Amino acid sequence: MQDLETISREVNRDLRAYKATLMVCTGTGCISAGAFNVRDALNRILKEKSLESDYLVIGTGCNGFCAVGPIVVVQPEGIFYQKVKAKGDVEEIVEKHLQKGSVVERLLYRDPATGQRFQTMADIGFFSKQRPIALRNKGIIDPENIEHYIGRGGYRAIRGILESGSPDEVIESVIKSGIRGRGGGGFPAGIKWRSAREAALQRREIPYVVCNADEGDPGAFMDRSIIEADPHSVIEGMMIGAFSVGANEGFVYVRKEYPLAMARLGKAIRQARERGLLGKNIFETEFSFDIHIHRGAGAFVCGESTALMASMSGKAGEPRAKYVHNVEYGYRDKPTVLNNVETWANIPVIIEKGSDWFASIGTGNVRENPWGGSSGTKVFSLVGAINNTGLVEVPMGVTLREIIYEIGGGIPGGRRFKAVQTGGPSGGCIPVEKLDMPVDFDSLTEAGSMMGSGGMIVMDDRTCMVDVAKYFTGFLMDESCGKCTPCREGLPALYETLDRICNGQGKEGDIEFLEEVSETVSATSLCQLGGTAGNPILSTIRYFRDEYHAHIRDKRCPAGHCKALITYSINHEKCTGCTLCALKCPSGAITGEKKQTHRIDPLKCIKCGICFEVCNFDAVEVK
Amino acid sequence: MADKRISEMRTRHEILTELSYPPGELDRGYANRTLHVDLDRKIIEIRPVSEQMKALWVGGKGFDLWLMFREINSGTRWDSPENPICFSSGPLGGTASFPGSGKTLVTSISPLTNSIMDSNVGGYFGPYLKFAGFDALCIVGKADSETILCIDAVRNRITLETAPLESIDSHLVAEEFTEMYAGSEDDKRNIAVVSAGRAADHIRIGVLNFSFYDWRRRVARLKQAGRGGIGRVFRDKKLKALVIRNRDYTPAWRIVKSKVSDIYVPNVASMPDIDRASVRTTISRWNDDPEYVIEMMQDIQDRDRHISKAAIDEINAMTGVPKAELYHIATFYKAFSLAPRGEVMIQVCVGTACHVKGSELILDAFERELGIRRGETTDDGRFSLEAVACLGCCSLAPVVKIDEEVFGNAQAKAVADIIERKRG
Repeated sequence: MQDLETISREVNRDLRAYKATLMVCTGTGCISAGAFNVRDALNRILKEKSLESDYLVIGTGCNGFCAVGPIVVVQPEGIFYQKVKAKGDVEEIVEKHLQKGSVVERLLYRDPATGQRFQTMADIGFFSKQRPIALRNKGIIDPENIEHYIGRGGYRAIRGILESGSPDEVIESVIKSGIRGRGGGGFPAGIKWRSAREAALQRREIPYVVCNADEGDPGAFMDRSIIEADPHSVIEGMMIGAFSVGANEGFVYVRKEYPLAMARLGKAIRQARERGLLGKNIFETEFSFDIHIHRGAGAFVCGESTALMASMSGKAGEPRAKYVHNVEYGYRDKPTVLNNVETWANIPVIIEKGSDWFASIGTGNVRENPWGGSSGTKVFSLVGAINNTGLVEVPMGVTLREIIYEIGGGIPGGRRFKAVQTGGPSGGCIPVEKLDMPVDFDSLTEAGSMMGSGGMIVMDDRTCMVDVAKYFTGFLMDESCGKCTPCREGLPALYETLDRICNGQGKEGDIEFLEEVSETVSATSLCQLGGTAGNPILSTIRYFRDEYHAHIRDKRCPAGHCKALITYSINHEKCTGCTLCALKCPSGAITGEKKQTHRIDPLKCIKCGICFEVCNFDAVEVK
Repeated sequence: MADKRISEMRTRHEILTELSYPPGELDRGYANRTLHVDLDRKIIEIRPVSEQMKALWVGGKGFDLWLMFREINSGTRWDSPENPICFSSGPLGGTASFPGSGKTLVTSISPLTNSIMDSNVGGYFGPYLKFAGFDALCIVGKADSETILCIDAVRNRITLETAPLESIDSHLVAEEFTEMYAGSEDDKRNIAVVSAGRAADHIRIGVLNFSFYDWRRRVARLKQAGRGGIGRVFRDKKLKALVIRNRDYTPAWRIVKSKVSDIYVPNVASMPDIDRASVRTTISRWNDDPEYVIEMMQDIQDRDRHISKAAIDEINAMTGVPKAELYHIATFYKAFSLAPRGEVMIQVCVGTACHVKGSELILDAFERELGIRRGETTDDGRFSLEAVACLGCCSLAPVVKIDEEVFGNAQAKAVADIIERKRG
């Protein structure tokens, strides 16, 4: 095996030989906006101009600022170009920036509030507040090239441990760092490792390590982005985990909906094997380890640890009661350590920089007791009604206000912030009064929500909270595996009640019924899918009882969302008679002569919302 | 006609005694009332449940035994008038919280052993008794002629009636009473009947049959309290049946069709022949390992756009995994389909971010333009439409994915054009 320092030196020398490097974000978001075309166009133009030996184009993983993709960052200066199109823009970047050395102003990021343009990533509010640890290499390296990872100091942590570390020391240091599971539960990772190691030693079994990349929470894509941007950090993290618990085989369970992540991870594993970083006698030590990928088959419940193990064993993913822990009897009935992608990606940094460094970031004191706070950073996917959608990594303990207004740039269209939903379907909605709450495991739980895997869906005043509760309940009802009764039967009962309320047929007592059944389902279900299923309903009732009352008593949807309770109409003063809405209306409900105001026949209207979308004059109103 | 026959039976009922009662509230699993029926004296009465009774005689069997002790003495034989039959389902009965909490315990002095015998039974009678507001039912005495006890929780009325015309055999009498007391076809599931049958008139091993209405097969089906021959005691009291009518408030009766019967069976004939050899190659690529059946099925699904019967057969033959388990997997995971999916796969993301940004309207638009519902395939086999929970492109919400191409910031107005282009 080649020496890591040699590889590192060579790759960095090669990279420095270029006058500039163009980092094209090729995460899933930017790809769908045309990033591959941008990358290919850059390569083509550089070739046409015979500049390919001077400039290097690298397709990186997700940059995080998905709202403005496709993104091209020119290094080493770090000039950030947004919404780059393959036609026109690319030529301009090459000719003006690369050849003449002047920045292309019109492609720079522009602050929506002030209109000011910023040149580099560090200047942009979205990035300046962030602290990347799990995403330390995002947008900087080519995820499909192992040398880039090594060039950034990769695989040094595992080498250091193998040369001069003991498993117990590693586990001790992970416990001291206070890192808690990033998949949602928030269980201290080091304690999990120690239990698995003890169980394995006691029973003389060889344990397994598993990486949970079955990111099923709708509205979350942290794990996908980490794998797409930096798959080797996950592999190295798993190697460290495997060494400390004594495993020699690891598995990654990836969602089928993430083909790119699966491909990049597969490639990374192959490259690591070729370099001898996976396989037998790694770094000429006794340690042998290899990783296999399991494809998920589309079942949300498989993100639950025991269901995931069942699915990996080729069975339907039904959870089992948890009195037997995975760390004792997990995959193939062997002690198994299961952590999610983000947790694994944090591990190499913790080992390299030390547990004290990690524990100093975040809230509370975790040195003595990992439950004493939330250390480190957390990656959130910031989506919904917010200007800067994308992926952000912030230290634990920042406030929601900082995330939403300083990083996220506030709510678009001058709308009013209403709530932020965290924790996926098991989480809850946090209202405006709690905006100054610090974001960490315990504060979120206290507010009736949870950390979950880190989805943050921002909602404005057009989002109906009863509908949100109905949405999550419907989702969980579909995803319930059907094994235990409270979840299988309770969720449909809740859903039907919510559906009735949204249809204007709510009655007094419904809220109390919802509360009672939610509590029963939560208290009596086998796994956490049912155990937390009440959260969306209970948290929306807790903070938005008024909206429930409006639906039930006044038969009114304040957000203008619930179809049965709204009507579309045309404002006569604004309508110019352009006939566009009448042309597009699928049910022929809109009538009117050219240049005359139009009207909507409420009997024919199917409330599809198309007229609202197509109208260029905001003349269509929803009430 | 059946209806006429049933209504004639009903007109021949003579009400011996009746009791209207206030509806009860359940508190921590207890109605705090028991129901007592004396067939000799033709008395129905409601008795309170004491705290001591709940503390000492917990459970269905406990309540039953306590009620029995109060009725019997050292000389009581199985056919003594004072030998009671007691029914109770305990504090967890009807709560749907645990497996088995729908069961009822029946006790009486057994004609077989002449000692107290308990029997455990399914069916809906016990939970419905609880919902009607009674923790237990105790019946003593003997009737003069064929009699039924009817507990109507809709009208809050309990009656003791003669019933001369109805059948005695359980499979008939359960149907007759279900028909007679149900307001509609949907309401039949609210009727439960307890009966013993003709054989119990003659032999000491007669059982009690508890009915529940099976709405899939549209018949009243029976569960048995079999131990101890309590059916013999029941008939000895000249009881034809106990009928209970539940208030329609049990949680969420849903009419759900079985995925397998709905999708799979009708397509057996039209299932296209697939290349069995290629299926076998796929399976051997995973070393015939039962642990990897999901991976095999994913490969097969990707290639054939469905999991055919032939594929299930081959996997079963090569891996030894039972077919029932393979169908379980094929219907459990969303990635698999038993009927062929369309050539073009349209996935509308309905993840949270997309939902908040109006994905429902986009999904509606696709349904309208394609003339199919989500989860279906067009008749020509061209398009399949699916609602998926999160494609992980939340920052581009709402998102539509057509085959491998992702469309971000999708709008309902563009749907017609997209389909037009794909059709073209």
